[in-house]
This record gives sequence, C-alpha cells and structure tokens, in this order.
Amino acid sequence: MVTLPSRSRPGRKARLWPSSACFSIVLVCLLAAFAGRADDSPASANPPAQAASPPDQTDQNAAPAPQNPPQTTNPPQAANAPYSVGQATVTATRASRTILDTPGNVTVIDRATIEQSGVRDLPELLRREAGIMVTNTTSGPTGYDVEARGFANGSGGGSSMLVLVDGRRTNEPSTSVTDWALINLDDIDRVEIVRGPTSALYGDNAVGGTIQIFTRGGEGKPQFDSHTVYGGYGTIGGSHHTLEQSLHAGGTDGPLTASLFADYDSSNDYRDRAEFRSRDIESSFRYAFTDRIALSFSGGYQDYQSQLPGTLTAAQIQPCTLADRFEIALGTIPPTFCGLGPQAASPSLNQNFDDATVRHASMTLEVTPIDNLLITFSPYTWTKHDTSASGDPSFVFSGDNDQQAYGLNTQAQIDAPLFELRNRFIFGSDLRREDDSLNSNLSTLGMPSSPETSRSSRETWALYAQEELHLTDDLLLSGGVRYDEASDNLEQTMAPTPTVNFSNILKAWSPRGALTYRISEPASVYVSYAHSFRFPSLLELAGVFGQNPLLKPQTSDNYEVGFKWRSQRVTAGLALYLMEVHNEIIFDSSVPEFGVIGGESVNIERTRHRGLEASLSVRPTGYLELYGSYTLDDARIVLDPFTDLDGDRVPITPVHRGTAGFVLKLPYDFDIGMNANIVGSRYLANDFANTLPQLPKFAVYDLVVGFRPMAFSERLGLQVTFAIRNLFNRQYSEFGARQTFVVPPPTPSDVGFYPSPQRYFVVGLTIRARP
Amino acid sequence: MRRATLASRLAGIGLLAALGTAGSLRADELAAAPPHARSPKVVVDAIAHGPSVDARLEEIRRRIQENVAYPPLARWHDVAGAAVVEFEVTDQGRTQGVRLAQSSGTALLDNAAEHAVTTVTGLPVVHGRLSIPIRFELTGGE
Repeated sequence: MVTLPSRSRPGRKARLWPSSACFSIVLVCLLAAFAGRADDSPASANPPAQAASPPDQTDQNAAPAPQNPPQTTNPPQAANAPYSVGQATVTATRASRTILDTPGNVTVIDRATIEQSGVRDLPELLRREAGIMVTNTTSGPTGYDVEARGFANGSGGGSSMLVLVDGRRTNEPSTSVTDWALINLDDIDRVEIVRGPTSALYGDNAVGGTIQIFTRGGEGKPQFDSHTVYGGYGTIGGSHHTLEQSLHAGGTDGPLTASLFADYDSSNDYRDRAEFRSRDIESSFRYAFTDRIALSFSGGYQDYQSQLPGTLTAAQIQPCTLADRFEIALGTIPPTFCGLGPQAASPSLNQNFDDATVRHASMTLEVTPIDNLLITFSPYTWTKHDTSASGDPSFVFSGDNDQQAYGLNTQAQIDAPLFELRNRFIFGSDLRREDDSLNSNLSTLGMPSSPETSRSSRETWALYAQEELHLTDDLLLSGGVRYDEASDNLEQTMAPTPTVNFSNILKAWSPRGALTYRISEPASVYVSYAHSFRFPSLLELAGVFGQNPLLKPQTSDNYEVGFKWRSQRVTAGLALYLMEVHNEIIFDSSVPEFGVIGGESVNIERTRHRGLEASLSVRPTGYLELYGSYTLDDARIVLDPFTDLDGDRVPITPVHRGTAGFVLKLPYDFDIGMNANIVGSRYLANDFANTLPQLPKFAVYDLVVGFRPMAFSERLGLQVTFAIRNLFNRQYSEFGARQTFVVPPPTPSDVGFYPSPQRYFVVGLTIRARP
Repeated sequence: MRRATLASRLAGIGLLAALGTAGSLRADELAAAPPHARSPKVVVDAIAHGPSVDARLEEIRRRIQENVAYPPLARWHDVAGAAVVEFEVTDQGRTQGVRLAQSSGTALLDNAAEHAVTTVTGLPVVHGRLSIPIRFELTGGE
C-alpha cells in the first residue's frame, strides 16, 4: 500500500520523509521478493567455475581439462562447483539500424552519461547537444522549452519537437507542447535524439527533431537505487534550494520483469515565487509468455504544484540609479521600478501558479509469429488536470484545464529480402483521440467576471509505410510515407455572446527518402529529403487568448547532408540542413486585441531555416574524453505579405552557439568534468520585427566532481557527485520577451526578462544495492 | 526444487512488512534451499571405454549449442548477453536438475538458455554436475 503525502499548496511545507519512508517500505518488499529468486540461484554466492576439476578423474581416458577461454562474465572457481563443458554461442543479425546507417543526425545519451553529468533535469543535459535549443522561464522544471533547427522562436514552446516516452507521445493535446516537469531524469535509461524531421514515421510535431526517451524498467538482476539530490543557490540551508529523493527497484524473475519508481521533489528554485513540489510514482511490468509473445504494462501518477515567477524589467534586475532613487522619493515611480535583483519575482503579479495532476497507462503486446516479423499493438490512455491562476490585486485570470488522450498504435516490421537484397519493411497505423476542456475566468476589480469555456476534440488516424533496402553492403536506400488526417470539433462560449461551433479537417502527407553510404568501417555519409508538418494545437485554434480558427498546418521540406564517424576513440557528426517552411505558426503579438497589443497565432507564409550542426568527442586515452559542439541556425522570414516582416530573423534562436568540455577519470574512482555552454545574441520573443535590442550572448561554465566506487562491493555501490553550475557567477537571461498587452508602439521598457540562475551547487548521492 | 512464486512471496513479504518484521527477515530465508546443496558432487565416471571425457564434454557442448535458438523477440530488441545453466546428464542421455546459475539479465535469453538445456537429447553420459555458459551475440551492429 502506498500512502502519498497530502497534496500541499505552494508555500506550505511539504512532508518529505514520511512519504519517502512509505515508498521505501513498498520498494523493499518488492526487492525482497526478487531477492528470493536471486538466492534461489547460487550464482551470486557460489558461481559456476570455468575450469573446475574434470568429473572423470579416475577415467582411464581422462585427459587434461579442456582449455576453456577465461570468461569475464563468470566469477572465479569455487569448491565443488559444477564443471563447465565450454561455451555455447548463438548469433543472430541485429535488428536495429546502427547510427552509421541512420540517415540523420542522431545522438544517444546512455544512463552512464546521465549519472556522470550530475544534472537535475533532462533539458539541462540536452543543452549540451548540437542543434538542441533549451530555454527556461521559471528556473524550475516547469519552465523548459526544447526546440531545434530554428523553431525556438518564443511562441511555439516546443511544439515543433516531438517527445516520446517509451513510444508514448508527450506533446499535449491542448498546447502540442511537452511538459518537461513530468519527465523524471532518475527514471531514464536512454535518450535518443534525432535532429530534423521524422514526420514520415511519427506524424505531427516531428519537425525540428524527435527525442525518444526510454525509461529504466527492471530488466536484469534485482537492483535497488536510492538517489538524493540537494542543491543550493547561495548558501547551504538558504531559502532557495532544491531537494529531490527518488527510489527505483526492479528485476527479472523468470518470465516476469517488474519495476517501481517513486520520486519526491521539494524545491524553492533560484527565483522568488518559484516553488516546485512534485510527487511521482511509476510502475512497469513485462511478461514474456514465450520467446515470441510478450505483454508489457506501464502506468503512473504524478502531481506537481508550481509557482511561476514572471518577468522583470532590466531596471528591476539592475541596482537603482541615483535618478531612480530621487524619483522614487518623489513618488513619480513606484519603489518596485528598480533594484529588485535577478532573483525577485515579478512585482506586478501577486499570484501566478500552475498545479497539475497526471495519470497514464499503456500496454504493449508484441508478437513474432515468424522469426522475421514483429507485430506490436499499443493502446494507451493519458489524462491531465491543470489549475492555474495569474493576477495582481486588481485582476485574477484563472483556468481549469482537463486534457485527455487515448489511442492505439499498431505496427508490423518484417525483414525479408527484396530482389535478394537485405530489406526491411515497416507499416503501421496510429489512432488517437484528444480532448481539451478549458474553463477560464477573468475577474477584474469592480467589474463582473467574464467566464469563458472551450471544448475541443481531435480525432486523428494515420497510416504509414517505411522501406529500408541495402543496395549493397555499404549503400542503404531508405524511404517512407505517412498520411495523417485529423477531425477537429471546437466549441467556444464567451458570455454573453452565443456559443460558437466549428469543425475542421486537417490532412498531411509526409514523404521522405534518403541514401546512406558507408565510406569505411567507422564512417558514413548521407543525403536526405523529408517533408514534415505540425497541426495547429487545439489551444491555438480555440484557446482563451490569441486563438485563430483559420490557422493552417505548418509544413516543411527538409534537405540535408551529413557525415558521421564512430570509432573507439573518436565520435564525430556533421549535418548541413536547409528547411523551407510553409505556414510556420507563430504568436504574432503585434495584432491588436482588446484595444492594446494582444496578439494572435498566425501563419507566416514562408520561412527558411538553414544551418549546421557539428559535434566531436575524442577519447585519447581511457581516462580522458574531450568533447565539443557547434550549431549555426539561420532562421528567417522569407515571405509574409501581411506583416511586412520579410527578411527578419526568427527570435530566440541564436545564430551561433556551442559547447565544450572534458571528463577526466582520476584514481580511486574519482572523476572531474567541466562543461562550457556558449550562446550567441538573439532577438527577444515577440520581436519578429527585429527592432528591439537583442538578448546578450553569454557563456556559462559548469564543474562536476564525481566519486563512484560502484564496484567496491558485489552487492553495494555508491556514487557521489558534486557540481557547481555557473561557476563564474554570470548574470544573464536565457529568455526574454517583448511584453504582450502593452500600448503600441513597443519600447525597450516593455521588455521582460527571465533571469537565469547564478552560481549554485548540487550534491547527488546514489546508493545502489544488488541483493 | 521448491520455488515460491513471485505472487506468493510478495504476499508473504507484504504481510511480514505489515507486521513490522520485514527488517529482521533475510530474503533468502524465504527462498528455497540452494539446489547445489542437494546436487551430487563430482563422482567417478563408470564408463571405462569409449570417447574421452573431453570428447564427451565437447559433444555435450555441441549438442546444446545446436539446440539453442536466438529468441526472436530478443533479436528484435537488440538484446544480447550470456546465461550460465547447470545440469546433470542422465543415463538416457537427457538432462535433469536444470537450473539457471547465472542470469543474462534478460528473461528472454535466460528462458531460451534453460529451454535449450532442458530439451536437448542424445548426450553422452558424464556423471557429475555440469555447467554451460550460453552466449547470445548480435552481429552487424555497433
């Protein structure tokens, strides 16, 4: 029985330890059950020997023991151990395509890299990747936006980046954006990043890139992990700190594999009014009926309460000038006009929060009726309830949002020669229903409140087929096409006007083709074309603010060439892309609404995104890794007859950015790493006209020291990381925006910044037990 | 071999945890006694003639290898690894007392390894407890 702590509101002290204790009891029970299976086997205590005494010692024909090669997987000989007859080996052809054969710029982040990095959230790790652009507006987990290839423009919020967790789409029905606060780094086994479009396989949102996340599951020997993270902004025990505790248990017992994950996060992040409380419990089970049929189930519950600190003006971040002090004394400007410092919350709001509760469940049935055919059926369901409010003493804007998504993914993969050439054919269908219900209310002092409701639904069906044909051992031709059709029904009521209903049918064809050539064993080149799309989100079509029911789907044609090198000492990648985007959906805040600049979502007729992504990792010895990456993104508006923005640069995405760092392994299980993240200047969000001063470039350095004697005991391991982020205490704002709801024309004083964290430290402790 | 089911163990341990005794109870006290305690130790081979021990062991290894099939689901998921299986050979050339001595970390591979040893026939007789590491390898990748 799991007893979760009572749901606490932001500002109330949450009860960490009782909840952790309850989780621990459940996890220990699970672990002990698996331990029973483990102790059934003497493998851990009395392992089989490779070269024990031969059984027939007195046999007349007895011969010396066979020369079995030493097996590193087997422990040393033990007394009375069984005699090994020698190793049997069975081989098969790998089913997955290697990175060198993949016609795209792909990176895999494994668990070891995650643990070495000492980061708290996955987007922090994604910042180091070439081509990926990460911004944060809260200094906590709810503020992340992750985009690629010039789509970080301050208005999409991540809707051109598809994120999948164990194959389940996380882009939400309402906003088409992934909520990164719901993705827990401690439960991740592996992350696969594909830059560029994959709509031919995955459909909606897979425009700038696709991030596939695979959770840890429980495959393998029973194992229990406890991970505790404490971080502080400023001093230990200060009011701004992070505290997170996670527990993971899992293991395999015969045909059953199970895992349980629980996490509690209680943080007051860098900014004032940036509290974050989160509870998460996830489970997964997998049962292999035979070696051809397996059934998996996963489900989870998560809730969080998150405060949003809002924006500050440049004057509020900086100390007051003498003139400012004089004017404050005279009363001509308010005391909050200046000198609040970067950690302050926006003084123009007295409440700003978003609380969410999420439940999800999914099942996957895998069947291989014949060896070369794999069929999967994956039904899933997901619900989220959000309560949010934002306001100052004179007005409060509040909302209740219910979202639901359920569907069925079906796929068949077959490896069958075509014209005697190695070949794989994949086809499948996706069915999905999404519902979005929003009740909002604007209460203004002395005025009657104005409630507004919107009910939206989208039913999508899609069919796709993919083909991978090895023309020679070194030359791979791949291609595919997908058709998506979405039926939208939207209903909007804003009293006293009558309810408005409208329906929409959206269609998209997504073809792709690529040629990959293996130059030599460690190197390959590729050339590819892909068409991709993003449907307008339900909120963009019929939201409470900035809606536009006439929005068209955003489409793009991507042309790309790339080079990859993967050897033991060197991993390198280079990609050049050109993306012609039609009807790119942006939030145009220059459109008047309610008599002031308010904004609405619009299509830009044509934009062009082109750039370069380069990454290099060199391991000259087994103890040292040097790495770096460089990204060039040139995203501009090419044609827009309505807004006269032709030639302007897309905001928020910098032209240049890069990373550099090293990891050095030291004696006694210590290691040290350093990472530099350098981001060039970029225009403010909403400044599509490129008239306001740019956000300045910045460089941030992180230092991580690790002590990882994970192997000091067969049954117990330990890992300690100590990280200092923003080592040189750089004051900067990763994200800034020209404010909406200002009287035109906009001026620099209408600019709001989201200050990023200055120097802070994070200590992580992992205890790993293998009973 | 006495092996409690997972469900029964969970129920039992859950009950004990509820009674507050879980902390003092070792998990292996609930498990079956290790089978090697009951396994016959290496004994004298009664066969005085015929192929040498090495030749018979090699024949056992070869026959088991021929009987192993890569689990299709494991191949599709790029799962590779090695499992160690212990067994004895009966006078009829079959196996008995088969058990997984060391897991590959994956249920599919463990089951395939156990199945290969359990169903193999026509083995030359060798007395004593034997073990075989069965390695599942994937080719054509990184």
